[in-house]
Amino acid sequence: MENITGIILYINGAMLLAGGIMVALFSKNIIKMIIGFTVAETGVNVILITTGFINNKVAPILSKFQQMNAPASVAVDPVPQALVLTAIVIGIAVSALFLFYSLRFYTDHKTLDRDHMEESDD
Amino acid sequence: MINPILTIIIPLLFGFLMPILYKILKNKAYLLLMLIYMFNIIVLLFLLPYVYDKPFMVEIAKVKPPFGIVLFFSFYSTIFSLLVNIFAFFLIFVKMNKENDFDNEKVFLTIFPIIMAASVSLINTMDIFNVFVFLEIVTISSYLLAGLKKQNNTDISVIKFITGTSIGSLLFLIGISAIYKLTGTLNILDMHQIIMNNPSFNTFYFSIGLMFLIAGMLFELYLFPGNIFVIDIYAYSSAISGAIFSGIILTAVTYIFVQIFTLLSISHIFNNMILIFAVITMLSAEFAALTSKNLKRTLGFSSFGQSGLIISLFAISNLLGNKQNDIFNLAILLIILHAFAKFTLFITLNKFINKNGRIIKGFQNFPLSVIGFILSIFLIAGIPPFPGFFVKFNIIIELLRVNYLWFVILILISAVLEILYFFRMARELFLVNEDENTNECISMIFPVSVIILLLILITFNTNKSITYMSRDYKKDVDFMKSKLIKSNYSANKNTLIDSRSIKE
Repeated sequence: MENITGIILYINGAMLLAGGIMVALFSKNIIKMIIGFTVAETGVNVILITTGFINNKVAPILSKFQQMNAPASVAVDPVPQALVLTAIVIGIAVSALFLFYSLRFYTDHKTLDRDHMEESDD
Repeated sequence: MINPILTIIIPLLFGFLMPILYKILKNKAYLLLMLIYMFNIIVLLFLLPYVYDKPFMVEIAKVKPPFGIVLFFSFYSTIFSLLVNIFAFFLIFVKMNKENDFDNEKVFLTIFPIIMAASVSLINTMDIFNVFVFLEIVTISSYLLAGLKKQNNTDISVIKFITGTSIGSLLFLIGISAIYKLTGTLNILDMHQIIMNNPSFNTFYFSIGLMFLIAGMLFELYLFPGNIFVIDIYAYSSAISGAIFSGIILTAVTYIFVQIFTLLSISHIFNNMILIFAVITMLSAEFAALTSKNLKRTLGFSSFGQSGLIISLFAISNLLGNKQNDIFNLAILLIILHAFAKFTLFITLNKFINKNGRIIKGFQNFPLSVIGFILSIFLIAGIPPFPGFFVKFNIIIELLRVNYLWFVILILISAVLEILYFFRMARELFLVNEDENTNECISMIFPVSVIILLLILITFNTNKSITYMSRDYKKDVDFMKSKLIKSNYSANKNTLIDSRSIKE
């Protein structure tokens, strides 16, 4: 029973990741690609947070420990949570730049088709 | 001794301050960056004799490893840090001539120190999540750098670049989470120790984590299939960006990949898998370089080809099981020579080509740059008496000694292809005779002269350089591992691993 939550979360994360990458790779529309990546990123974050998840344990926040007067072993692993925070920030930066280039591309070419390339002599 | 962490902190600080500083200093900001890189070069040069004996450890926030993030300035990592700082110094010198290589010089001056600081951190860090963060800083800055000179198809090539590298970072992150789940640590040396000290270690799950990690790195290292997304960046952005991608970023990423791969690759299946991908990259990129007419694209493919060759050599070195053998040392030397040659090729190429990457000016206009370009070609193509020849020759001898005849044949095929397209480039430089009266500018004379002098110096001291670079890498690793605190921690962690294995 204890592992079921973890397994469900892993499957959930894996499905989000696979679906997101499929959309990002096979969609011709750049905005759909960005949405795909955002979904995939959420999937990875779910997987990452599940890594530190232990059933029936509390969040590793200092004030809670003090109230409970409990040892650190009653808390879930805080490292993956810190990692996810960093990953979210990085993800936002990447999405922002992705959107910036999409906008610039659309302004010049009036299309969001990623296969649209101008002729060049190479 | 000055703390080498300053070589990372100072550029990073000035990178973020640059938008304000540029308003005050205008073009003197280039001078400021040059002073910063000069300082870095001096610090690292003073550090080199120290790290020749043992690595220098820097604890971040005074937290002991493996709990805290730690940087190890080993002999190799200091050499690589020095190399990228020298490139940065030259690049800023070249950029000082106020030519409009980029649409927005302020953005370039902001992101360049950040790329440099992240690259040096990447080379020296021993924390796997830190690797991910710095890799992302380098990559995100590269997105901006690639789009700074707007040409036909620049935007769509950057979009492709983001697609490839984003897939890479997602896979890398999953790899990190899987390996952390199994080992309970983010320190690469600690992971290595756990794998070595626990015969009952769950290698199947660890291998899956490592597979994701390596798959992510294939995209970040521009190996096949990651390079499909990257090549247009070389073709449709400034040649200066190409110099940064091939000379600085690729060098830093290759080095950290080698660290991770050498310390964590426990199974021959992975070494063989990497070898296959690297060989495919090497051959396909060299053939593609031969067929491409755009010079920047050709050099991009050539970088991928060389990267494939270097990674193949590390894979073979791992397969042989003796990590301190000559193939490892020679491959490290090859990374340095490749970085040197590609950096020079790209910064000199910037002067000769039009926006389609075709040569429009040649020897008559820029004699010194053409000489620098040709010497770099000789260096990388392995023409005697240049060091590239002796390094490749020694690699072939070593490979024949361990019965890797098939790989020697592949190296020779790729070398022939390289010579063909490099000589085609060199021939064009002498044939083009543009009437336009352009002269070699002062900003090119200094770096190109220094590079030519350095090349001549290395050429006359090839054997000494090979001997100097030959090193027992395992000794450095053992020293670094001895710095990890043990006490009760190891015992507790073993319990942690056991309890996790039981739970699963």
